[in-house]
Amino acid sequence: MNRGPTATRIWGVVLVGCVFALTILGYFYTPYEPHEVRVLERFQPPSGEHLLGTDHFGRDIFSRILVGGRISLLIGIGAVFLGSVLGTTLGLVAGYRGGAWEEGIMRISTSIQAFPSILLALLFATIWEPGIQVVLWSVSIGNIPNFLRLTRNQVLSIKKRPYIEAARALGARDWRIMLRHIIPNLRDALLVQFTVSLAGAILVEASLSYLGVGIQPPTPSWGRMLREAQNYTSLAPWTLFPGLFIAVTVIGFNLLGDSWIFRRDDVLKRE
Amino acid sequence: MYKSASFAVLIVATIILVGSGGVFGQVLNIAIPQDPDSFDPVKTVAAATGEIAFNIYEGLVKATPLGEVEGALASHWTVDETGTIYTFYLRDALFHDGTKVQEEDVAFSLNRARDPEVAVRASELDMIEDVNVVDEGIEIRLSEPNGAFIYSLSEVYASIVPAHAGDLSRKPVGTGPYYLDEWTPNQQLALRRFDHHWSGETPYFEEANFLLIPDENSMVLNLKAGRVDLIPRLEVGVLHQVERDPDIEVLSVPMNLVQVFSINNARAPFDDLRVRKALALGVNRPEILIGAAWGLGTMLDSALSPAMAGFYNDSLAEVNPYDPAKAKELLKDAGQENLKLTLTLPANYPLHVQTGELVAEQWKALGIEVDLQIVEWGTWLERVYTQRDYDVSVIGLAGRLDPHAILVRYTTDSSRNFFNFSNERYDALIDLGIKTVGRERREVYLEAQAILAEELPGIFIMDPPQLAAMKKGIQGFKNYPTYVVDVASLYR
Amino acid sequence: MKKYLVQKTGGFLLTAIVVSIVTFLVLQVLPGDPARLMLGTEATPEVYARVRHELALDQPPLGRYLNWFWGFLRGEWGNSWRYSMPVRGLALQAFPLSFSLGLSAVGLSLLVAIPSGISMAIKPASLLARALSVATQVSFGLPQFWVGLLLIQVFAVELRLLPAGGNASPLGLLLPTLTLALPRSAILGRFMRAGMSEAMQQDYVRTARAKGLAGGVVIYKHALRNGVLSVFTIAGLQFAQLLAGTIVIEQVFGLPGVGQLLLAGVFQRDLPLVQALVMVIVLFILLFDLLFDLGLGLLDPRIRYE
Repeated sequence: MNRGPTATRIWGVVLVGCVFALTILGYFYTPYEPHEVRVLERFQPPSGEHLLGTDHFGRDIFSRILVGGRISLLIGIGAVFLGSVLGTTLGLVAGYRGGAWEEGIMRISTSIQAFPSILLALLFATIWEPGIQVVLWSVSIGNIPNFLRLTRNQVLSIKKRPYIEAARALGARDWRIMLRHIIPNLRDALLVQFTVSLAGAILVEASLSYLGVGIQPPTPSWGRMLREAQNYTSLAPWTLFPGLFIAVTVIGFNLLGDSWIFRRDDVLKRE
Repeated sequence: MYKSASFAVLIVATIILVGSGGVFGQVLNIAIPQDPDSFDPVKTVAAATGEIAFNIYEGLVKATPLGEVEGALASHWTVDETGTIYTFYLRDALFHDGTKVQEEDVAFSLNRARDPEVAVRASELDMIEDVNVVDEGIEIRLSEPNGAFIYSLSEVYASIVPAHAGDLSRKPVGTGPYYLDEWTPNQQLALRRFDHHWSGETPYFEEANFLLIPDENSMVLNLKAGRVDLIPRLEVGVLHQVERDPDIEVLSVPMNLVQVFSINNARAPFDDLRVRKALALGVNRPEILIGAAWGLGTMLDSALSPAMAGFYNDSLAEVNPYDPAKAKELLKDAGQENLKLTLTLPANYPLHVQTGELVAEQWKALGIEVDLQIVEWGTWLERVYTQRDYDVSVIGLAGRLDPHAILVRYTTDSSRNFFNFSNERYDALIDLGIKTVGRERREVYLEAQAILAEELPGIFIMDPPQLAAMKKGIQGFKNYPTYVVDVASLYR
Repeated sequence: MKKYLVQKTGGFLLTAIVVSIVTFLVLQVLPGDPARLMLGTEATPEVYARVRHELALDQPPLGRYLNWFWGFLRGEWGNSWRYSMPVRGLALQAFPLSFSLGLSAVGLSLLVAIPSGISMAIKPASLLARALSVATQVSFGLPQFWVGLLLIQVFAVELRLLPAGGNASPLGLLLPTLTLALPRSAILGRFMRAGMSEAMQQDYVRTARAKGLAGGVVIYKHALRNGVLSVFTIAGLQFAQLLAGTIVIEQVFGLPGVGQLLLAGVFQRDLPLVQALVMVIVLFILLFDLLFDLGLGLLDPRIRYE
């Protein structure tokens, strides 16, 4: 039944679209230089001069948000995408092949989980200098176990189903089976995990930068701006605006994801 | 039904309120952000340890809030005419384990403290040639007269411990007004009042708990909730959260810390004084004081803080004024209009990170390309301090009671000279200063500071504000020029 | 059976050893050495050399690692370089705290997520489902430290009902548990809903119903099982992650958990401490994975672990 785009999808597109639009705008125009320090104008509330007010250094928050989106989106989408591809692939192999493959891959997954993430980030910061590469790889590797385990468990559940066994008996190739039968069934859980990881990734970038291994100032990122605003929530609540943009991004992607998961009629509704 | 329910809630709430306010028993709760390292006086280096150890251990002398020393375990002492033989006379005092303090304990403690095989800061006592027990006293022989010696005896490493003591790192045995009852790492330390202190005075608080709260916002909330009574070092960034609270009082005093931009004097082009001067003239310090220290703190032109009232050189304000035009000129003269530098900052010190961010923008206005690199502490210590592999960095150098201990860092041969600074006249002055006493000593150090201001091993920025926040009613807070919390002087 | 156990244990040990070797190597490679960090900015070269010697840092890495490993197996975990205290004591104090916190956070999340997920899946258009949906969306966007500080402000400062932190008692763990459970229950709720929805949209389910076969109950059970499958997988992952410590929560609430200890250890390059903690975490997660997989087999007979 074709009902056209649902409200969920529309809202999702609108929110995500706005975020992307603002980020692209940031490449061409910002009302002020995002790095420009004007200490005497610190903590100004939103006004005609400064749309979203100024921060603790008197920098224009709106300009910094326009530029900061790049990092947050890159990490949120890019790192999670990378992690999901790696994790899902490994999970597929583990679940489908079983045996020694599964053992080995699950051990890798556990190792990643047990290894302190800060140690990993520090290692990367030593190899490459602190910066976006460090965050990208730390976040993507950290996401592998989630996708891996989710995929592998689903595969184990699905692969015993009659029609899969039938397809194998008929001689269909493994990768074909995976592609046509298994992956579509995973899609929903993976989508949810993706949106969940997105939210986490943006905030993890903030912590890593704060600890000295991530994005270096004065490059703004929403996560870092939010972290810096931590002390000033009662004094200057507008410094929390980056949090709003993070939330909008996350919610937008959530809605988009939901609109794909739930696009068909919910069968039980009529009961 | 509602009435009795709300009454019950009221009773419960009251009990919780009263209990958390510590009405039952005089207990003081103090918030600290970091754990101590070890309570063995000769092994500890962490400031957090010294802060607490001040209440547990005492030396022959101890520091006063005015930066002088007064007798602690020593009731008085004499110096001979050569200035090299000190004789200390002990008063009657007991250790926390009940044993009497004997001259042998003093000799043991000091010999241990100057033994490089055991003590981490043994080099600070290398002016001592010999420590001996004589009739009724302890005789300490120096290799030559030394103005800093008496101050060194007040430091934590010179604390007097029993000769029969076991492992002191977790079970310290001292003579101070409090003893360590319990230490749970990452959580809290409990100090209890020692009722046989030699002074005969009984401090108000029977128990002092040092609670570990790493997050500064959380510290403030704990203060407001009544779980904490005192925050000795409040982060300046959260001052506004307690400024207008009628239940909380905030005292602002100098920290006796020197915040400095260290420049690698051995690396081109920073070996050129013109370049260093340009960097100095390009720094707008009032802007930093507002932006990073909320308008508090004291601007510095010298390697000493004004808190060192006896030795501070206050005539150096015009040596490095803010003059971007002149700075640009100097850069041109030195052929460095397109200077590129890396500013390395330690991630665990928000004040220095913020200062660095602000100055980076100020130097960019001179046409300098500044690459900020925030690194974690281990990396900073390795790269900047040990390997001296850096361009410019920012750090705070802790205050001491005696100027020699602070200024010796800038001598050519000092192992702590990560500035790579070298100036013959300066070396000579420092050498002289340690041997001089009285008025002349002051003159020596005034000139030394002037050299540092002119030759610029680094750029001195500020002495940050130290903010002590406490519940209204807590009295007697004494501020010292060193990193300590004096629990015995507090009362409610 | 015996063979299976032996194989399994062997595999576990191998993984644990590999992880601990990697940890060791990484700590070697990082700039900044433990002796320097212990001594701070005050040490002279002689003292530095002596401390290095005392910590055996001047010995070759392989020997040091083997020494440590052999000691670990025998239960001698050594002293923490940072705290001058036995590592075992520190670990025994931190792990139960993180364990209880993790357990209660995930437990609470499940308690909230499963019913709310069901409600959202079955009657998506209802008021309750919509409200839950919105609440779920919003809690994703809230940073943990902010929620934590807010809860302290409300319950400890304003209402004075709960302790502001540092307390490992049930009352003291209440606020941290809430802070941790809020976003996690939102996450689990979404998985529940997605899993159920997905099951209900299966072709063969629709076919079965189109044929008029057994109605609500069978479908319901099937959908439920699919939802719970994802939920338990994720809940397991969350718990493992919480065991390794949640630094932000521990810092905000002043709780001496594993996260803080590990962080301090890493920044001080405190080898004995970090190595021991990582070992315990690895072994624990391995054990947990095993139990979990067995549990999954019970849940869904098709996944019966081979």
